Amino acid sequence: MSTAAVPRWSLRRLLLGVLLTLTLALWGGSAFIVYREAQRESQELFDQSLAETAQLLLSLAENEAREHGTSLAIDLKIPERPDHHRYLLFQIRDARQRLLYKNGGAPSTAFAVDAPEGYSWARVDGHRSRLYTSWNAGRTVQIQVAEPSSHRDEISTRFFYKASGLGVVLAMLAGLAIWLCIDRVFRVLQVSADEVGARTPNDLADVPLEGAPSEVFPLLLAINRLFGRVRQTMEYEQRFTGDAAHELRTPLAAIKTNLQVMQRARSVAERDEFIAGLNVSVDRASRLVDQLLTLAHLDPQDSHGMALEQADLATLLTEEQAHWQSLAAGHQLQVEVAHAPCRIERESLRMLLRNLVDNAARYTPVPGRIVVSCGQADGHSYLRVADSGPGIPPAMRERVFERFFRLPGAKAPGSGLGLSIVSRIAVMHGATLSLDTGMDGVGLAVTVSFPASA
Amino acid sequence: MRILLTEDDPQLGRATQIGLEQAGYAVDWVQSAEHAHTAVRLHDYGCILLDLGLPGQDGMQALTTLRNAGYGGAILIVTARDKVPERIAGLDGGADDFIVKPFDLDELAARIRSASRRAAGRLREQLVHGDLVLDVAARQVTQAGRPVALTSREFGILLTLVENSGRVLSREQLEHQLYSWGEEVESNAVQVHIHHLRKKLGRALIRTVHAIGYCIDKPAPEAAV
Repeated sequence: MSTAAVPRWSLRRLLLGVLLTLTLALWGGSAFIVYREAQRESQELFDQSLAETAQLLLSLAENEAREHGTSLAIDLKIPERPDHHRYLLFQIRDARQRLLYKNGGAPSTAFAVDAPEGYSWARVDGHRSRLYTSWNAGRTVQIQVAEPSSHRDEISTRFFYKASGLGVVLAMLAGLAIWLCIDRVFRVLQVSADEVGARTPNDLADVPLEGAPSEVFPLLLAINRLFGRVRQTMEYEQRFTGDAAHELRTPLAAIKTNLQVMQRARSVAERDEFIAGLNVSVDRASRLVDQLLTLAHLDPQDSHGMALEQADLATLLTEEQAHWQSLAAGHQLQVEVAHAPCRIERESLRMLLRNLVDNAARYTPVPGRIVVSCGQADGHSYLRVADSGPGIPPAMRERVFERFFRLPGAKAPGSGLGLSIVSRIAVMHGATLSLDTGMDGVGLAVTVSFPASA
Repeated sequence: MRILLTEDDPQLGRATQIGLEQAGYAVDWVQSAEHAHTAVRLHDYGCILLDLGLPGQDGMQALTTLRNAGYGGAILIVTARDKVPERIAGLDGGADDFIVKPFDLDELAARIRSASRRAAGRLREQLVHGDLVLDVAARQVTQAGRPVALTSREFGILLTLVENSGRVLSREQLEHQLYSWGEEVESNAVQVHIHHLRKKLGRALIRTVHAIGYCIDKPAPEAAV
């Protein structure tokens, strides 16, 4: 089989892909939201502390201004840090915008012209910075604080890297967990698949159902049912060929022995006797082969495809009766027809009739009576072949439909296949077969009752 | 030797019966196990050919019944069934051989000889009695190395007497080994065959026991080697 060459979509790959993408997307989305939220919160905190520092410095400057006036620059006596400019720059001005004080690193020019009171953004020394501008209560001293955003960005970047690093580890762990789970689940499927795959045509035992998950159970059940049907068909075939070979051996042995005896015949009469025996045996073998082929064609599996057509049994019987004259030679053959509509397949029904009439003629001692009739009873169309022969004891009536079954002590030549063929054709028509006592309390009557026409 | 043939197929039964008669056996043919049991009670058979697929009682059951009833001769199963388990069941059930249809008449005859030889405790298809050597397979006799031409019936009588040497056999017993049921037997047929045998093999061999029958005495010990 070339199924391996065709790329197949894989349930496992699909599931793994969908689950991993979904997990990563969800994680990524929530990480983004958390990051933005954290950034906003920290911005607020930074702003608050900027404002507090500005107010503190403003009150210091206001005190100085009250003591020394604002005509000269003031000194806040704050210890200078060499890297102060990286964190905080500030300028203090009077009402006329004269610079009263600035810390180290801060430029002499204004941070931003017309910066509004409160928070704003500006470029200071080429760095994007957060500004906070505030006046004292008398609007005599103004303070403007600038904090480079690089400080804040540094912190949030550090946070971002930490968070993403942790996220990647978590995502990898989640991916591994998902992969392991899917693998475990699919291994259960694989076990069932291997179990089925390991079967050979000779090993059609049921796949064990214990331990199968409920999703796989119906599939296994269906497979087991299929196995059952295949097993049945194979057993049927094997039994059939076995039986057929077995049944053919006896006429073949008779042919061979007749031939050998004929070659050594001690008289002409003896030779003629075995030529006749040879004839009978060859006839028997060919009849057996015919019936075996018929039976093989009537495979029960094919019956679904059989085309049934609406017909009247009365017409069929009338057409067919001429063919039975030679079969029933020596007997009194009577055909009684009445309207009997039903759905049939003509060719196989002809075969059924021929077999029934042939059987009746074979087992009824000459001269006997054979009545073939059709009609309707209880809304069902029926077909009946009755004879005045020895009949079949009730205890044996079930068994005569078995292939190759012959009544003990049956003297008439026969293959034991006729009624099997009849039974098979009846089943194909959905009809029921019944065996009763034939005419005048003796003989056999075979009735085929068809399903009521829709 | 007399053989009981149990076969339900008319053509095969009749042909086998005549075929074995052509080979020099007396053959009684029955078509059911029940008739076979009756025949075995009434007559003395050297060998029984048994079909397994018989109507009524099955051949395997018939085999068991025959052996339980004490039948000690050879039983050969002749059947269309050739599955190994069936062969094993047949052989273990007391059959001496298992022959699958279709068979060759010559092979069937050889297997009958082989089975009855073993049943009689002999090793080869040759019987030696003094200077007389009987080749059972070829149905030929030599006396002191010189071939003697015998008819099939004469050979049959000689074989029966040699096989039972030392025992007196009645005219009816000898007839029974030579003729199947329904075969026409002249009332003095056995006497005529004995007369011819004496002419061909010498008067001393077959002894007449007055009013009882005939007997070939056991050979003298030194001649038996």
